Amino acid sequence: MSEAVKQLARSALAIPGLVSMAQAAAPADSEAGYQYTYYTEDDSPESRTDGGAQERYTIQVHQFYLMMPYGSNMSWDVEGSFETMSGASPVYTYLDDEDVTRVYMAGASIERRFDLYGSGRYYWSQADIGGQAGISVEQDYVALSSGIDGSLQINDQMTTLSGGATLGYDFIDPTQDYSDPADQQANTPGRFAAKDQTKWQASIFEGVSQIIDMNTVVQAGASVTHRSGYMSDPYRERAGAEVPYDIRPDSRTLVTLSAAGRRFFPGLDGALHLDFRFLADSWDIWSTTTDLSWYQNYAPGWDWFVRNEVDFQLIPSLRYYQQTQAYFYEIPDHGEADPYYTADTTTYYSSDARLSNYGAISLGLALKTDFRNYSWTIAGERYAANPSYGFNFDAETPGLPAFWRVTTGLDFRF
Amino acid sequence: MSALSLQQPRLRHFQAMGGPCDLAVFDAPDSLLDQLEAEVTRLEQRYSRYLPGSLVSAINQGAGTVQVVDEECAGLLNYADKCFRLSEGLFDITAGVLRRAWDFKRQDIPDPEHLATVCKSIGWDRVDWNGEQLRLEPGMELDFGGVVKEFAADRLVTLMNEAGYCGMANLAGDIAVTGPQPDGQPWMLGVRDPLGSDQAMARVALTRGGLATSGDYERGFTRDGVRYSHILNPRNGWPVPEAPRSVTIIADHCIMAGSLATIAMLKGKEAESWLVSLEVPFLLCDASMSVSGTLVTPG
Repeated sequence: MSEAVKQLARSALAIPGLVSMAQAAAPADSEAGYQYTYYTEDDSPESRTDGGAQERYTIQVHQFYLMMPYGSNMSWDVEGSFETMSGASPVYTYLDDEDVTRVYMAGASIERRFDLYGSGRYYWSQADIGGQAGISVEQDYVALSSGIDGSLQINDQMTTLSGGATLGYDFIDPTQDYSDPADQQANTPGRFAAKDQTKWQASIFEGVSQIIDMNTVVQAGASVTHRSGYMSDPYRERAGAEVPYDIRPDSRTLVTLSAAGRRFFPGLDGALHLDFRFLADSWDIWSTTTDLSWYQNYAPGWDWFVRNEVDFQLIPSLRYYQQTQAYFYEIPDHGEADPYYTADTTTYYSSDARLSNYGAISLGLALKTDFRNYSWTIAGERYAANPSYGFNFDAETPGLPAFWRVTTGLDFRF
Repeated sequence: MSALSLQQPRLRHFQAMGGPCDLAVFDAPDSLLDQLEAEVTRLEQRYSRYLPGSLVSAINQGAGTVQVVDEECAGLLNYADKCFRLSEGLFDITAGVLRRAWDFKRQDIPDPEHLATVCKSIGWDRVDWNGEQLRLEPGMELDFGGVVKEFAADRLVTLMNEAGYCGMANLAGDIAVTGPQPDGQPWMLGVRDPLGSDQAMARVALTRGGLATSGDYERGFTRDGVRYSHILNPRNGWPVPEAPRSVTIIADHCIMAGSLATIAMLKGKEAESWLVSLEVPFLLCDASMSVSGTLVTPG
């Protein structure tokens, strides 16, 4: 079948009632894909790093997926990924004797992670329900997850209600240097405290999507997540400290509210996507995320030797994020004797930069190329985080990352 | 022979959309056959240009004003727009006004000046259509004759599918099936002889989607040795020279088979090469009555 006939088929399928909604909703084609991601963080700043600049994380991810219809009303999919991480990460931030903010980096390490997820979905004429389960395995961490979700179209299919719930259970087992428990306890109490700890999380989310006219869709959503268990970072440690160098509350509740709009401009053959998310949690962190993307379609109608029918989509995007700090975020002053970091394990404290008051800006550019049964995507992103981006001009946070990320993937429909 | 192959479908015959309609549905209760017949009536009452109370008549009477149409009508207009562009303007749902100039029953050849005047009311590209709102220029008319009967056949098998039944809808040669017959056998269909004999020109097997035939045997005529096909070029109003006598196509949906067959007829002598380039199964009977195509015809 030629591309012209396929386009005609798409136009025919868009006529309401031509096929039953159940047939239309369930995927008709199978799909397989591979995606490769290369992520590299900028070196830690030499002037603020203990021992000079250090190479931070470089991460490579290989992801595979396969989705297949099963009968006329069901589909299933399986996804796997393999991730390698190498480089150093910040262990703690502190004020030195001269009140300069410095970051102490861990020695370089190499870690691996394997993920496997499976899901199934059943489609009715105006509704669908899906279930998924997954496992993620690292040398020192195992995470189990599961979830259900569904959607329902009402109001002549102009309104879609969606909702779901997820459950997760994580096992933490820091394995480094347990050969001598006495040393471990003396030198790295954080790891010792985390041994055989667990945490769980439950989340529910609801959303509504409303078609305003044929070119405009608006969406709103809300979610509540509760986490409970060991949430301190066992690897944030300080040689010689008698207690863990990162002690966080053992429960955290997060609420998010989101709103989004999509508008297609037929004259430009492009669409504007605007997304906004507000988050508040019981650690006193409030954050906002604003995403602005433009999806520009381009169908050049190339006809070289054969009808190529190559279609392009170019997607420039801008993201702005800012958050307030957690109530227990603190940069210890190593110029003073601080009782928190010597004996008291009942007070929460952490110098993790991700809990500080900061902002981040991310610029992205993606190109998607559709050719017959194939889609090839390449995307690049530059991310930088800084306290000043979050209107925090009083603090320095050298542990915040800046990174480049490049992703490329090939999808095949059959 | 299995028990299944002894099964016979329930049949329903009625007249609608200007022709005979035949339904064959295995194990269908009367209520389903009634529902299917009612759906054909509903579509005819909405989209017939002959019924004064139809939606299309109202749209045509409202030419010159901006009119909002419902989703189903919008879907059909978008589809017709796609066909217009695919055919580079040959498939044009505003070309129905040519009946003012041509009377194939009386076999009259129109006055060229009158025909040229009528052609000024043709041109889908001059219709303001934004996906929701429509404005026809005064004097223009829409004619869904080239898509609605085929759409009706697709609607009928969709209703059969939704109710869980296996069957076929044949609306005067525009045919759609839910799938193979319950015993797995294809539906065997005869393609009408363009010369009008009772003998089928060919027999084809249909296991999915739809089949449609466009031919000039129904309404064309010959005058002074010249064949006047009812396949009219919307640009000049005259019959397409060297148009095939008939084109039969199988596609995913009857509406696609029908519009592709119509466009092929309008392509004239280019029909065969165009159909080959589309990679759809077809059977073409050209002006000299020679049959060609890629449609597999079981012996």
